[in-house]
Amino acid sequence: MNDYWNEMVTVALLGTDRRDPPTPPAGGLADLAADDPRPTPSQRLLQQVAGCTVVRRAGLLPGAPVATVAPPTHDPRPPTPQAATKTWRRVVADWPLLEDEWVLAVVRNSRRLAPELVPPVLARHRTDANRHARAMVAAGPLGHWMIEWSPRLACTAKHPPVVELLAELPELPIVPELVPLLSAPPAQVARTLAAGLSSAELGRAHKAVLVNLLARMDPSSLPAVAQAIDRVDPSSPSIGLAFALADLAHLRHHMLTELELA
Amino acid sequence: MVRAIRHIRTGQSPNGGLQHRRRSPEPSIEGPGGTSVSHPLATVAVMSEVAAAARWQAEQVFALAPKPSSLTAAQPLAVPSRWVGAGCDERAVWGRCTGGRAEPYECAIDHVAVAVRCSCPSRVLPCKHALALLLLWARGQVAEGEAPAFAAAVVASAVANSAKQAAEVPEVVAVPAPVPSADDGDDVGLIAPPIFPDRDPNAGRDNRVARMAAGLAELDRWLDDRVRTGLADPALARYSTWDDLAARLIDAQVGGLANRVRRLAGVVGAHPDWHQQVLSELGALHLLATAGRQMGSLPPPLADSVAAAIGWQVRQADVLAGVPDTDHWAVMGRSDVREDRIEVRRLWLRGQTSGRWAMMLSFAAYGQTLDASMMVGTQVHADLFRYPGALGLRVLVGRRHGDPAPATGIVGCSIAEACAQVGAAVAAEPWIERYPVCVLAAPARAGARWVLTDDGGSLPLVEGVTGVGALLACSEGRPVPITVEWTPHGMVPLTAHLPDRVIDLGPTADPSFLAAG
Repeated sequence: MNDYWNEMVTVALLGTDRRDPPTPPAGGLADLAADDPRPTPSQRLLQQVAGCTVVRRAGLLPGAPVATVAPPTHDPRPPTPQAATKTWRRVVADWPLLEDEWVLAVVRNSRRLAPELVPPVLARHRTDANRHARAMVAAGPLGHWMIEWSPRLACTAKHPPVVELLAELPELPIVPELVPLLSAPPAQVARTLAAGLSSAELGRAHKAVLVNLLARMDPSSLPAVAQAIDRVDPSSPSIGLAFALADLAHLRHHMLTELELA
Repeated sequence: MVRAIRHIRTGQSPNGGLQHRRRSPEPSIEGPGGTSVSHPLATVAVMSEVAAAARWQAEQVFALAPKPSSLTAAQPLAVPSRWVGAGCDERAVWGRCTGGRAEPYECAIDHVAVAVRCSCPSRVLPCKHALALLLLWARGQVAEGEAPAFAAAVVASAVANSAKQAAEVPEVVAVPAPVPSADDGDDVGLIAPPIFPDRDPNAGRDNRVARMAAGLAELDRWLDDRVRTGLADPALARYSTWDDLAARLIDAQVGGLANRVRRLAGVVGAHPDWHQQVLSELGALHLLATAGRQMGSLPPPLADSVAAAIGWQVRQADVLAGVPDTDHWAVMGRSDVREDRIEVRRLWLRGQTSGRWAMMLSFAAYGQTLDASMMVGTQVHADLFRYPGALGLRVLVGRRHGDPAPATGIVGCSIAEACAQVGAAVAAEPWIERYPVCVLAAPARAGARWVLTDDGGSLPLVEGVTGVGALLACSEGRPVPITVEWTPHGMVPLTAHLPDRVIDLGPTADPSFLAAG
């Protein structure tokens, strides 16, 4: 059948104006051609191609068994919970500046990446040595095993990772006036932000610095801050910014608590 | 009188009736000023008037678009926030579209007679507002309500047009028939209901069948030319070669084949074996073109399959009128594929009791959302209604008897058994392009290609398909139940059913194409 198919491919490439279609091998296809004879070579070829295509598809046969791959070394750390996979996808889609902290939280909580997350996380950071190295720590032996089988997941950065930076979050620019809020009591931070947003003193122009502030402030302040921002006057011109900041605060708090070990 | 109209539509005459001869006008789409334009879909709509008026499918709306740009323009308007006072009933759908103008445009569509009226200045019929409103309605985002005056006017106008056309009967051939008594009342009609041979719904069907047959014959001639001149012909490398044919197939109302032809344009030269793939597909197209012209002699289920494959639409109401297939349906896999300008989601369901497969389709044009009502890894006790066909894979979901619950007891078959299942499916519908199976197998490497393997054999995965990495990682190379989609080019992994979790591996729609859902 394969030889016959290959002959038909050759004829189809050249065209039946130049070469006649091959005679079908004895059997069903030959019977088909005999039952419904076609007058022109092109029609005969089309008929035989259609028949042969159906036979090849319907007659799907398994190939020879293949040796399975040896599994990776066992990693005793518990994997990130299934819900965290969804959270990671949201982080990556909506607030990618939280991803470093998410990966660090996985490592600090003595967890490993859920297996299904290993390929996308490694692929995402293969051009950044530090982030890739951090992801490899989170992935554990499975990460090395995956790179062995799928080399495109390996790091392509030219410079080696800086070990000292692996356990630290990258610094984000925060204006000096807001720096005290990073470590201020939660109630004070919440009050300050809510008042600024309600009075529209904080507006769209401040979004970048406020996002950086919320991404780096003490995590224990997040619930209070999110609650306060949620209560910003809906008629305030900064309500759109307030929604965005509240979403960021909620998400950061959620992702950090979700990764804590029970 | 109402009944008389129904008799006209169905072509039935309970009392023998009168034979009228007249020229059949195409059903019309009414413009802003009440002008009429002909549209092929209107024929189909009139054919089905007698059926319970049901929501259209998105494809029907797409087919109504006079040009692709109309559909593109309609997409941003097909969101509830752009409409005020939108509503629908069994005859019409209406709403006021808010836009840049102070006064919203009033848009109403008689979805039974396919008559459109919109207060916008557009001379394109149907306008983007009408298409947007229909899309909204097709997606079930328009609530039922009482028709306002401007919508009632459209319906009244359409009914009046029908009556006027009926009154223009030039020739009446009397056929002896018992004349009903006056006691029968107005509902029955004092005059025996007339039959217009050309208004017979079969006439519309016949017209469409004739157009389709002509399209299929043209397709076969085109295929013949291709194999005569050879696949090495440089013309095949030009998109227009395929697109022109696809456009003619759409004109002939065989849109299903047009999609297949357009997809082929992207295969030419895409990889070293492209000519094998193109030739196989030309063979499948020839098979469909031949079968489509012989539908009358095919067994009914096979004829239904052929009709669906070449693009004949079946109304949801007709499907929902069938016998439900009730079971606990496990959502086994999901696959999103961009087809032309539409994202298509296939959800593969399997009956926990019957073991039968079913497929739910949903569509999203740019800026729309795909159906996310069923999650992979869950199961739901529900009535499914199958579209007609030899395999009968496509379904609509009817009543749900409970909330979704995690699917349990998912087992995979052997690779050999999977091959047998695929073979049986292809034998039943030789032109199918995908079929699901759930196998217990491990991902493994065979040379440069990934395969699924067990003790009895292996099946290749499609090269470069997404999800292989995640499958390898979550299985760690061990055999796990995996739902895969067979395609002629290999298997596409859709879902890994692990003991403690279910991993959705299927191809995902481009998020920048869809609305945030």
